[in-house]
Amino acid sequence: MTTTAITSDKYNNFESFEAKKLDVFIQLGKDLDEDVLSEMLYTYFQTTEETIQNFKAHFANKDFKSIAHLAHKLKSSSGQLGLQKLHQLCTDLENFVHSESSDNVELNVNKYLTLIFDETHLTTALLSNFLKAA
Amino acid sequence: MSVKNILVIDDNKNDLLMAKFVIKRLGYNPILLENPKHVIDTLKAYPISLIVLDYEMPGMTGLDVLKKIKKEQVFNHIPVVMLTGNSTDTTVKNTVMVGAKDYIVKPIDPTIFETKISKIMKDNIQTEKNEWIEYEVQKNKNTEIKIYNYSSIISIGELTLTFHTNQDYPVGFTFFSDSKLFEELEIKNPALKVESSTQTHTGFAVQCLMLGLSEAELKKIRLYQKLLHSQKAS
Repeated sequence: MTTTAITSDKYNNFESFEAKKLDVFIQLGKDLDEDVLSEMLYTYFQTTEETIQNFKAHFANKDFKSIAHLAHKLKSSSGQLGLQKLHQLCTDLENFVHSESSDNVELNVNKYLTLIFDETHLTTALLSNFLKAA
Repeated sequence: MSVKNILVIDDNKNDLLMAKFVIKRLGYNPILLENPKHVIDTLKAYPISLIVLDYEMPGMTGLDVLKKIKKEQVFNHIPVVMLTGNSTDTTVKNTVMVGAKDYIVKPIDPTIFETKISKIMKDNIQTEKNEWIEYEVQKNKNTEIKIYNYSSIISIGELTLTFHTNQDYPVGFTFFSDSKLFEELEIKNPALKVESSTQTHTGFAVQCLMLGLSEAELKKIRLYQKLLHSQKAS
């Protein structure tokens, strides 16, 4: 993998937020008579905030293995909520670290993290708006 | 019958939450565990019917946890479903070889999750039914009733059945009997509710209430008792 390959253009084909994915949580909420959607999203907001802070701490320590694990967790959570672009970014970051490429690891991980932070910021806003409207 | 517990072990709070809601909708009780190190303590604390286990966790991988469970004789019969972020051949092979029943690929699709869990729980109930208490009733020349495998009938009343077994059963526990006795009497297997379980020097005497019997079925049991009585007397 080369440094030039990691740009936001590569992810243009992925939707930031696929709202349809949340229908299942709305239905679960109706069936259980609980606010499933809110609980799911609040937990996501909380854990993602923690994940971002942990990404930063592990990057400062050059702990790329832990970064790959955090990417793995965020990959699962974002995929579950229909955040396609974030899901793909996390998948690529995890794979990049596991590939044990010696090609500018720190620089490339930093590029991935920058894109992930931007996308997280955007999708958090989109999900918040969706929750308000729901 | 008490609600069955499903244990979910995952360090990802979002996945735990999703699993919780789906399991609740299926009518089971979810028990959630973030730290896999506490798995054996949790299994000791609750009767668990199914374990859903994440493959990739820090500190102790899902595979390590699975091996640990399979080493414990008391718990190694509990079916385990693995959650995996990737479905590569190696991952699937590893989980199946160590004894996982199935696997679900993350991100968890609630519909797939629900379908797989539901199927395994139903299969599990059937296995319990088949393996647990087998009322192999055989009437020999002396009209004694002998039950093989796990239990022997002590008495059968109009509404109660008392049997001797090497296992204790919780009061209130309800199960269905596959007894050939009922088959012979052409009575559809009645639900048996445990009324009392008393320890004897060789095991446990369990008294059950037979539920849902019709008047015709009760009549058959009365006739059966009469027959037993007369055969014993002669």
